[in-house]
Amino acid sequence: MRGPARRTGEVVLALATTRHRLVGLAVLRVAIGATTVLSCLADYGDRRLLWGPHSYLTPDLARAATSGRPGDGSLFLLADSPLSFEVLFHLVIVASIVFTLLGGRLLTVVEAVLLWSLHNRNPDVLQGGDNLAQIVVLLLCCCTTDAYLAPGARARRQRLAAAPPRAATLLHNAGAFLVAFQVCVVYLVAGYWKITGPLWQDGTALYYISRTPRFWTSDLAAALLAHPFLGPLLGTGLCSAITALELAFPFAALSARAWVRRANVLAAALMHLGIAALMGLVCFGLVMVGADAVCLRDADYRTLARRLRAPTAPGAARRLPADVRVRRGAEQRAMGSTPASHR
Amino acid sequence: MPWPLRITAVAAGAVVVALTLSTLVYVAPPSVAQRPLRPLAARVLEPLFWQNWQLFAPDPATAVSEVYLQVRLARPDGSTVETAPVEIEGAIDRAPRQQRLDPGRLPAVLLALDRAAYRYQRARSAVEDLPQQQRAAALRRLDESSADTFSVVQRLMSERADLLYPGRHVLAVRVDFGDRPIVPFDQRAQASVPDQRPDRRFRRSWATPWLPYVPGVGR
Repeated sequence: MRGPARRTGEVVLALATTRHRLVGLAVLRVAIGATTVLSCLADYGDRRLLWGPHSYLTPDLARAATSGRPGDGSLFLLADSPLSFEVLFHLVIVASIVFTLLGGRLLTVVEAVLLWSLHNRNPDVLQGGDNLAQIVVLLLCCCTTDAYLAPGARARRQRLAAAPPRAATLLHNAGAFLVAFQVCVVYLVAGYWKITGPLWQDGTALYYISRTPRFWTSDLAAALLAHPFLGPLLGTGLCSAITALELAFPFAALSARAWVRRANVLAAALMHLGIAALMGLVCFGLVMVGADAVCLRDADYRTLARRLRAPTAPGAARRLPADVRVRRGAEQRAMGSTPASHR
Repeated sequence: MPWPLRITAVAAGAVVVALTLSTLVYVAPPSVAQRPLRPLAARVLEPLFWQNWQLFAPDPATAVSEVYLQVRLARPDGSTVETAPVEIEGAIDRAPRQQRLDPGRLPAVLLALDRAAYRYQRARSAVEDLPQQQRAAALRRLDESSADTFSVVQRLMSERADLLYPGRHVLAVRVDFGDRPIVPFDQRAQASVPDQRPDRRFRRSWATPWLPYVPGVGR
């Protein structure tokens, strides 16, 4: 019994020492903040109709639609005068901008409360991306979201890399795991339901979606899917590719091969950018791209960054980020060797 | 290992295990194994982790929903006039084409309303299948339980009526919910005048009674 116990202790210690998925979580933070701002601004002219005290869905109707359980509440229902609505609505926009730019745990909690308040005020307007954003913003409250894409991120990463094992690091890794798990669940379940659908099997599902005015903004794509010769090929190819990608996503995300993980996330991100551009589901597409980003490891991003920098800066491929240099230096000193960069 | 770290590890591990297992049960397709466990999973996950990922699946819609709004207006001489029904959902659904960067959420409102209308009509059909002596009471109960749906339709359509007839004195609104089948994939080449074909005609699901106009919605 001492062997497994010691091994478990080592794993816990490792998870309490290094924070994982820092890049992906930062990208997800930016995606959630940006889509919240975007959805508020997109319906700025209709804000009173959708969320205001004189909305078509009155506060009483909205309360009746929820059962009063924790999580069903909304600040918009607590303060339902026109002035307080305007203050709160603009607070959502400002807080989301600040959250997008800065991140951090306190701002994540504020964003979570405001996002849930907005969503619970009118559940009619929510899309699949909002459902995912609601879940992951809660999990982000446990995570470090400002280690990248935020002012002072480099110094923050150096502090984190030099920190001793901490409970906060353990919570961060638990939250990051749950976010990645949730994204994999989305893909697996969406893929499963598609593979059971006759129209997806038949390759005609995208044709029918392209005939629904609500989901289609590209006449060219609709015409291609209805084309006498290209339509069947394109429709079947895309339906099969989407279903295969969704079903394979969780397994590819777990792959030990970096190129499989990177290709998987790239394909999923391209699919969602296509959905955003061609189907008008911009917020859904952006949240999913942010969520996809969490399924890559930090090492994957470092490799990508090195490859992107390599052609323009000779020697940059060997240059590592500061936090990695500090950690590797400490590891090598502990092992009694000299870091390669110091030789 | 320090005690605070051990306690955190045990607590975080328990939460991770509970959430992952509950999520897997919650989203799994219905089966003899899933059905008895789902209430337990729902108790862990709802409402904070409620989720549904049947995105355009198992099959996307094969009909396009349409909403026709008819308005009763008062003329300056005191007489009233009923307008011809105007289809309002298509214009709202097509709005994202004009604002690709930031499509609004109004199409989703109409979608929610379509679903509510469909649920109401299905319940009403079930009531109409009841023996005649039970029908009136059942219909009354259905209308009472659907009061919120009526209220939402009444308020949203009052706002739409304001937009359609600005400056006019609106008295009441009436709405027809329904859909129009999409031309099947294998007949797409023959669809030269699609809306005239008998198999593509508007199929009404629910026609509301005249609902009194509600002023000031969305102001």
